[in-house]
Amino acid sequence: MIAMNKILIAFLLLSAVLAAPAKSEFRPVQNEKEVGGKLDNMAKSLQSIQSNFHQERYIHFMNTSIDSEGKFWFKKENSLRWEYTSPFKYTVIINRGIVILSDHDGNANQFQVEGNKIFEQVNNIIVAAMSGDIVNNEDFEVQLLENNDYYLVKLKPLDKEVSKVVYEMEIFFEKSSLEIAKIKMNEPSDDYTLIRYSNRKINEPIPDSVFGL
Amino acid sequence: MNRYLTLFLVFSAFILFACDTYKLIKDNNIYKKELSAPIKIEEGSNVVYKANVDLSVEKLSGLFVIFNADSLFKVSFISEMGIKFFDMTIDEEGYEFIYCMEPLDKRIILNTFANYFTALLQNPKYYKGDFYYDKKNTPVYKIKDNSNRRRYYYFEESIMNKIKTKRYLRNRFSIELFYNDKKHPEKIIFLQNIPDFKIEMNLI
Repeated sequence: MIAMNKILIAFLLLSAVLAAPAKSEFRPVQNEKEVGGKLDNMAKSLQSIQSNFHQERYIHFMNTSIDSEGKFWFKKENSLRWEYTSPFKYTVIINRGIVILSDHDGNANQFQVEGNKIFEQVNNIIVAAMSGDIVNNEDFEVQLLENNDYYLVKLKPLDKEVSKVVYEMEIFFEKSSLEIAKIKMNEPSDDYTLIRYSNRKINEPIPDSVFGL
Repeated sequence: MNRYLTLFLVFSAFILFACDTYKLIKDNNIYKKELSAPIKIEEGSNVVYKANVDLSVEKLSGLFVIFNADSLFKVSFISEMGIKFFDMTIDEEGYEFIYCMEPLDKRIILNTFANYFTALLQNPKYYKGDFYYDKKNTPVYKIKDNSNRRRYYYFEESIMNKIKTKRYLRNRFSIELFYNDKKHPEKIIFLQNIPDFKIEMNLI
């Protein structure tokens, strides 16, 4: 009898362990039109975001991750500032079609987004994610999923050159607020970059000077 | 006959000195030390450098992640935002590029990266004759030593030897290592003249 009880307890524990990941598994969204409309409305009302971010860069062939963090600013229509503060200092600014890259030594590099296809597409994805225009974006094959906590929009670039670099983008929206919680960029080599946002401030004024050096 | 003998001696002397590509300071332990490779990484661990790469036609910045997997070195070059430029492996047998982004996928660029990281990571006894080097076919390192002066060194049978003159460094690459009481070089500058190539790496 004791042995039977042990087996039962073991079975229950195993069931609980197996059931836990199933709870967070993503499934296709039941009412795609409604959810798409909600995300669209949220994006339309969005004017600006200020946030902290944590970036995890997983390198598959080393089975290791490189972590970094910093601050992020976005202002409609197309102004972005990524400021890495740790473990290195590095700033990426995208403003009016110009990209500025700057490191802590004062080395700065400036170029047009338009001339750099991969940068252009990654920028388009991030800006599209922030400002709406995701679900109906014609540059990507779009899939809308959900679990208990998130809506997940999966974007596969249709451009072959871009898909060699970024195979798929995953954008996670919190169900409660419809705000972006994380973005994951998957590469064909099973590498990925996962960016998690925290301490978000929505629609608070950001001076234009933030998008310059 | 004497004239020929004199000519022969002068010629021999010329050959003898011409072959002496650099002079060593011998019996001076300050400038001789055992060194297996400039960067020594424990098995199963990695080192990350923030880097600026100047390929003349292309300027890139990103992170070099170097991982030691059972004496197989894995090197990844990724942008700060996460876009991958290349993955390569280096071991005693040579090197292999697992992935390389198209604009960099040119033999001259890949060879230079491979030579550079081989020189940084491999024990000198494994060096192949694949490099732009001195007449003895050994790589040359430029190192800022304790007296804060730049010195030039080369390896011979795992011994690092000082080179007295740098005039033979033209058309070769040099690697300048800056130590600052850290386990790994804090800063590394790689310079090559033909083709123009510069990598500056700072330890993270």
